[in-house]
Amino acid sequence: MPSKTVSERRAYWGSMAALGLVLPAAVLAHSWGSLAEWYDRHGREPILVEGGVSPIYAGAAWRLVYLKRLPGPSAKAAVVLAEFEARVGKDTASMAGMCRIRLTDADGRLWAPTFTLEPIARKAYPGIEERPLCGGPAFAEAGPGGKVDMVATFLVPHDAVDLALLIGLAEAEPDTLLLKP
Amino acid sequence: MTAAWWSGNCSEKLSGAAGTRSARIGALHALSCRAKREVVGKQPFSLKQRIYALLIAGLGGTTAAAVSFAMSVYEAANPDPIPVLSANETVDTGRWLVTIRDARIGDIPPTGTKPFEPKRFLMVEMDLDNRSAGTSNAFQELVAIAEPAVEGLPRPTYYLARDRWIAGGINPNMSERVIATWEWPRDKPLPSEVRLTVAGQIYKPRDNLYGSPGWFRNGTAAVVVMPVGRKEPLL
Amino acid sequence: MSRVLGMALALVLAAAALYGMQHSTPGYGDITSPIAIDGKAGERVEEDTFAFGVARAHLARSLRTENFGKVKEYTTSGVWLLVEGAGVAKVESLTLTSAEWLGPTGIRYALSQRFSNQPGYLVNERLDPGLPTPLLLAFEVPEKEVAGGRLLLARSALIPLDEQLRIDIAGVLPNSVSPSLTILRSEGDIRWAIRRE
Repeated sequence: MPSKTVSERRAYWGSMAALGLVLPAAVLAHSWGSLAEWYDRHGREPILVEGGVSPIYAGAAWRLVYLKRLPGPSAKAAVVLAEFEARVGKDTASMAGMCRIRLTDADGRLWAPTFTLEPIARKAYPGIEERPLCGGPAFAEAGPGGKVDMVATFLVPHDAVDLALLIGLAEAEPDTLLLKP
Repeated sequence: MTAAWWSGNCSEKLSGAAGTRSARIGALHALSCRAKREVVGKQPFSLKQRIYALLIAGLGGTTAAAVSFAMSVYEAANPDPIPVLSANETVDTGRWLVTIRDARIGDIPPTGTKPFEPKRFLMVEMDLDNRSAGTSNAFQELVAIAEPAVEGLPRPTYYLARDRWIAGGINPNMSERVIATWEWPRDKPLPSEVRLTVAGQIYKPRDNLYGSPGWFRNGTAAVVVMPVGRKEPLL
Repeated sequence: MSRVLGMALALVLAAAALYGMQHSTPGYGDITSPIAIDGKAGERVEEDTFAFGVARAHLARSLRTENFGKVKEYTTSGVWLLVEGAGVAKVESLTLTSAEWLGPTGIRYALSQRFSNQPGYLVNERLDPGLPTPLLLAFEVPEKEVAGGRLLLARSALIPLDEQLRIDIAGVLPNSVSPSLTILRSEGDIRWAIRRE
């Protein structure tokens, strides 16, 4: 075979082999940002806190006061009342967003709080409906060094055990805080 | 295909004594020339052929671009006349069939509840027929007031005539009567005639950005001119 | 001569191949459309994040709601298709925001937005893990689009490549259309009751 054809062939197969490397590399380079972002969102474990320790999250010291189980509105559900507090720091007071509060259980299921506090909790603990909502406005009002006492109620099935409170603030995410009693 | 086309190089004679380097090259060259003649149909295209192909493709592309450009210039210079219609005539906007029925001014919105603070409303009643394949509320973007042009006129609220309540999406093939209601500014004179533009929409199976299907604005489908009725007493 | 013919044929073939490819390439909408999971009324149909079951269906020419003694009538140029069922979240609390009736012709009718305050209505209820929630859905469709249709349910219409339940409710569809049905408020788990006139 003429030498030119041989070199042409070599170049052809060389290019084909390079494609196998370059194509995945190009896809990876292109989607690196999205992949990193996805990992940030899904791959990160929350900051775990057990017992009464107050960790610093979003510039504030947080503490779960208690999680209480109360009889639910129907036979299949229970009401969980969570009381928690934050000692506001300088960074926290400047935050604008609202907290994303979730209740988690041993299976990793996540419950959002009820839109309004459950009536049974309001009856058992009068005055809790006056507590501020977790978020920027309450932190700003308390100011640095101030303490914000907050409550939330959740509806969970009776088989939900090992409950813990998960707190997220937009400014501090993707880090979240998991408060265990 | 004749050999003369491509064999120009091969007719060159390479001189040199046998056994020297140039002689070896000359022999190789002759070999490759013979090989070329033998497998002529499988040869890669020659420079000349490539130039021809490039020329043809380039000329074709340029011609296509020129024709397309000339057509758009012609169309821009000679736009299709926008039909001017009156009440009860149906406008085909592509996605919707719009029939404007009535325009009137009143101080009670279609809900039937007189606002606490006296207000004036321009209400345009129309029938809408969704011709697309899914429920849509895009009809709220179709009708605009061209005349009288009022600066700072708030966007209209659309009411479903059946419910006397705010309209949501309208289903395909289920014609509905809706009432577009503009709150008329207190300091602006009330019109006795309106000139409404009805926007057209065009379906693209592949849009220019993602290649996703969708409906897009497509100029003005028609202008509807109609008198404005009044429900006295007005403030 | 035959060479010219051959070239012309090759050109035509190339044009045909390009045309075929252009028209058979799936568009962005097809590539990113939801992944359907088929199911039937009476069974639990589930995707990764939620499960749904259809219990009953009703057809009516007109619907009435009764809220605290206030009666409101909802007329339609087609028929009302009422679907009663229950949904449950599997991992995280969520609200289903996309429900459509897919007619046998392929036309989609979105969940009616005319009952914004109805308790138990799909878009007003949040689904929680482990707590099945009774849900009510209402669609306004032309009468001939009921038979052979499917109920489409998804978390959101905007997430590409999300899963979507496609439920055949033929088994619970009534044979005839009631002239009128009334949706009443109700205490207890199921927050509505349907009364036949």
